[in-house]
Amino acid sequence: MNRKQKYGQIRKEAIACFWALVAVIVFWTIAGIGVSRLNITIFHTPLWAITGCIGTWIFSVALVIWLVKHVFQDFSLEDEGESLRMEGADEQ
Amino acid sequence: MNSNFLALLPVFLFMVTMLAVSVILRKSNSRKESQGFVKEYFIGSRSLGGFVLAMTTVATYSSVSSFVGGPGQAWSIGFGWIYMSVVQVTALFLVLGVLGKKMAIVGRKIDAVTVIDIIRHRYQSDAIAMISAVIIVLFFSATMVAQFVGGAKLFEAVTGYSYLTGLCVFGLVVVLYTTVGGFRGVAVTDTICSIVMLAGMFLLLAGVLKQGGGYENIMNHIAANKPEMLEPFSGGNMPLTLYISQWMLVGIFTIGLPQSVVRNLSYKDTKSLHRAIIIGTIVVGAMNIGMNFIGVLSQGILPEGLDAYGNSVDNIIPLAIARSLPPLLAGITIIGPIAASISTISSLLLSATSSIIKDVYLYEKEKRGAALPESRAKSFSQLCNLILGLAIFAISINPPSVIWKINMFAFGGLESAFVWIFLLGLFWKKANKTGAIWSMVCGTLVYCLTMLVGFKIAGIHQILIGVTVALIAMVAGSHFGKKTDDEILDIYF
Repeated sequence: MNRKQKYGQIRKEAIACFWALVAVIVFWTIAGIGVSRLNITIFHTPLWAITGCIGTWIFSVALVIWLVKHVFQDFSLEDEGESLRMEGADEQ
Repeated sequence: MNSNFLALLPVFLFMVTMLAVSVILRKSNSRKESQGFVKEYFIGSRSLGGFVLAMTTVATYSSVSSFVGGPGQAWSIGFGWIYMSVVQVTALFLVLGVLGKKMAIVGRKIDAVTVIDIIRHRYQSDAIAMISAVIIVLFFSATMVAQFVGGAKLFEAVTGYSYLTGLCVFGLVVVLYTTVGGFRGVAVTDTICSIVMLAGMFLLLAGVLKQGGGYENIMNHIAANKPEMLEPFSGGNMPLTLYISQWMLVGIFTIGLPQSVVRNLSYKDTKSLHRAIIIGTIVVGAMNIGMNFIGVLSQGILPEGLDAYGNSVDNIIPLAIARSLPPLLAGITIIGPIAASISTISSLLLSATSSIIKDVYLYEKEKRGAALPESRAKSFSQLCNLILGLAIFAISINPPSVIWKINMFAFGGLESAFVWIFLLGLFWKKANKTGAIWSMVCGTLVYCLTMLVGFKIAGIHQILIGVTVALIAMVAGSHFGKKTDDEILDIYF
């Protein structure tokens, strides 16, 4: 991957993080304030508190795992010229 | 052995361990130091792995208020406070996921050691580097004083020893181990701090549940006596505007905090970054939910009104610790909040030192063609760290009221100053020197002024005004200012 391609990928990842943020905000709102309207209590705890707090946490963790596996890519952080030289050295 | 001493002992041993870890790390990395002291001392030679990167970012971000003030509020507000605090799960994937890779690539290319190195290079301006350094040193110093005071007060409340004893036990040691260990020491001790914070949290949770007669008993007490604590808006105590404010202040705009952003210059490779995003999101969620949940459950052991507890929510967690755990366990538990305090102090202290030494002193010397030899840079860096740390320590003994004002402005002030500088600097070609200076100056000043006079728009925290003004100033300034040179832009785009 050359530097321009890396920067294209970085842009894609940054945009994906923005949409992940939007998804967390939407989930948080529905799972918390939205669910609180149902007035359900489980194990002496209001359901909205479980879905809004622990739910949002689990949702966020699942989301970042998905991002890392499906959107984020591994590449060298060194300068392209340098990495090319290193690849050449490896081949030798 | 008296009980007070038993409460003191764990913190004392913990601090000795932190110091020992820093000394050992310093010795074992002396070879890397010989390859470039400044890079090793301020960013650990770009070698952090995923776990340490995650833990140091979380520990820097979790301050003493995450363990004392916040859970105290949860005791008063209820589950709404936990619901609000969980927005912090976005912090890691924003600061590492959005800025992480580009900062790392550019940092390697221009050999940047501090965030100001990047800002100076991107905007080709010594003026903005100098303004950044002033803002960082001022706000970081006030935040450090607040952390010292919070930790020492907690120490006093739980152990019965004086405020000054507490300050000496952990304050002097944190200054010392930061000076000795540099960034690598800070990162590893931060990691230990994070683990200790989690352990202390579980210990306190068990103690509070046991002392309160079990979960069911505590929840029945809350439902019968304070049912509003079970609602998201807490009977009007937790309005929607507060949620929106917190989303911005401790969620979205934490992407602009320089003490977190600098960690993007320190990690080894993209695998480490990816791992850190996942681990960090898990840990930051667990800590925020866990500690604030303990705050809510403390109602079971502290059921009276706030006036019965000294009229301050800051007293709730110290009282909960003291009432629910025997002295030795209480002593072990307060290591958690003390760890939160020292891990924030160590990172801020080192960042502030790097601003003074690397961004101002060494840069000016180099510019005048009188670059310091490595050995002088080494002794200056350590000396500056020690003097600044001791000065902050001395101020914390009896802080003047102006420090509290600056501290109140620090978090949002740093966000207003830096958020667009980083974000648009790395992702918007047209961002230039004029826009950056306008953004930083206008954003910070307007934020501080509106905080000072208490002016808000639609009841939302002044961070809204700060970042909006900073954005408008960046766009307007970039429109009127001179375009950045293509050869510079080529490094960033």
